[in-house]
Amino acid sequence: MGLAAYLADRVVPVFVGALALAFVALVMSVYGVEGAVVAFVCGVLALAALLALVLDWLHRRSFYRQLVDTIDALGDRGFLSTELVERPRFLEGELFFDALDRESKAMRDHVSAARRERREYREYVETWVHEIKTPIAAAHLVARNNPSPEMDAVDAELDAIEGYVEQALYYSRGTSLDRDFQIREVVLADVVRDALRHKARTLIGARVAPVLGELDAVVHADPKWLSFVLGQVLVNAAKYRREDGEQGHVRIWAERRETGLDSWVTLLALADDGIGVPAADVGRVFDKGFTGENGRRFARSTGMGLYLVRELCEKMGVSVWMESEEGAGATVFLSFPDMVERA
Amino acid sequence: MRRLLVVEDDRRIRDELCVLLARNGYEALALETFDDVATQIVDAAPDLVLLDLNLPGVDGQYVCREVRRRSEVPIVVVTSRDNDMDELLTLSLGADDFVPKPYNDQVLLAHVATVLKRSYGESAAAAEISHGGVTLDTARCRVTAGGRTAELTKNELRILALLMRNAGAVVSRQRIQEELWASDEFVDDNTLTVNVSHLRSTLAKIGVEDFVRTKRGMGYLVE
Repeated sequence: MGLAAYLADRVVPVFVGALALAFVALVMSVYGVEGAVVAFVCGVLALAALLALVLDWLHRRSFYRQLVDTIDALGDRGFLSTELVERPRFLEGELFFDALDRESKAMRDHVSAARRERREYREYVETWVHEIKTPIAAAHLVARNNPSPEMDAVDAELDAIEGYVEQALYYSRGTSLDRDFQIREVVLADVVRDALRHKARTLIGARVAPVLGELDAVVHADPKWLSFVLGQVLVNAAKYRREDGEQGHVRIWAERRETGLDSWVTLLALADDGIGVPAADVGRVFDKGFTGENGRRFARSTGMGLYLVRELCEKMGVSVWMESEEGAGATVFLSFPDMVERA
Repeated sequence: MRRLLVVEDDRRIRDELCVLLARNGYEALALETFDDVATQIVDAAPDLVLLDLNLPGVDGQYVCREVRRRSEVPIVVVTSRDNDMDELLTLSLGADDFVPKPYNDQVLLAHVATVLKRSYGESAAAAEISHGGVTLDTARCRVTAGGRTAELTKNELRILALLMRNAGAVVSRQRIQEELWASDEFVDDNTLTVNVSHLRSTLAKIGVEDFVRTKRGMGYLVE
């Protein structure tokens, strides 16, 4: 709030005051008061009025400046500002402050209610996923103990159900506001093997086998989350396998790459030899709900798998991208930054 | 034969687990009631316990600790609670291994075999499997027939053991691959074919011909 803007806002009282002053001067001259006296009286009154305005401006300015600065500093939590700014001591400011305070209280209640609902919903999803696993496990065992082509088909469908249940669990975990994952040192080979065992039936059923390269690297990640992420990529390798019916392969390897002056990342690559992704789609495969050309052609895509991959990776501080040549396969890269400070 | 005790409240899972274990060369027992689970486990004196953490009215972790206080029996915890804290807590309470539900049957069997091996030595988990005059010594990776013995590779052993345990039934290639993948041998189709033909020629060396039959489009069979 600049002085000019403040004065412009006070144009009516200033104008009325000036008018009154001019009228007083006129009446005094008519009654034959000396010019010097008229000038003195008008000057004193005008100066007094100006001083009053400036003092009032300074008083208000300190409140509004503090308020604006606080809101700026709070960013998207600006609704907390009345907690941090002192209540002003002029009428309009008080009215304004009280109104703002009521509004922000309502907003805070709203936000905490939404948070609570969200947390409860998430807890429900966790419980539900945990409950559904028992019947799935039972059905799996029945199918496995009574091998027949029909039961094998049921078993494969159970795997699909299990996959979607897992996605729901990680969707609720990955989009949660809570930071409930644990980043620690993991050996890539262990997590890769875990993901492969987990998706074994899907991969074998699609006749896609891994070719493991150098995987001794140690990275920082949550092992469960990373295993889920790799699982999604592996399932895609099975889903979008090569069309000629030959045995498919996913090459999986890790390498160190220098990204800048003395800054290194560990790169994990999963390269399949499937149908690949059209060039126009490569940049968008990680978008939520994106199914693209392949998703339409194969009509099995929900556009959730890779979206979750990116969400979970982002939370773990891992960057992820895809390179692909249509018809020759797709490669997903995960880049783990070094966390160790180099001497 | 190793005696395994299944502690699981879901009747269906309990029954199917017992079938699965029995079919894979173990003697399977199960608890029917869940009062004083720890005492029941100790009294049953099995060689290994498969323990579900979520039992009605009992805290699985408490059971784990109680059993460990009174006995050295290996415990494999099976649970649908899938988080790190549970895993760490359970292992710190004396469980020997942790398998999250819904498990792959092959993975579960692999975990059981590993724990048995660790607790009772290399030969403990393994049993001799005999069928049609052929004897398989799974501990020493050897196959014997008519007094002649040959060495097998790990993969050949796993394949032959699976086929012999399921003698009389066709075992699909997918099933065999799953068994191998469960122990981190991620073989593809072609490698499996090569493994099986090696296995056949090894068997031929000790005079066993036509033991492993190919059922085209279905899998392999030991009759």
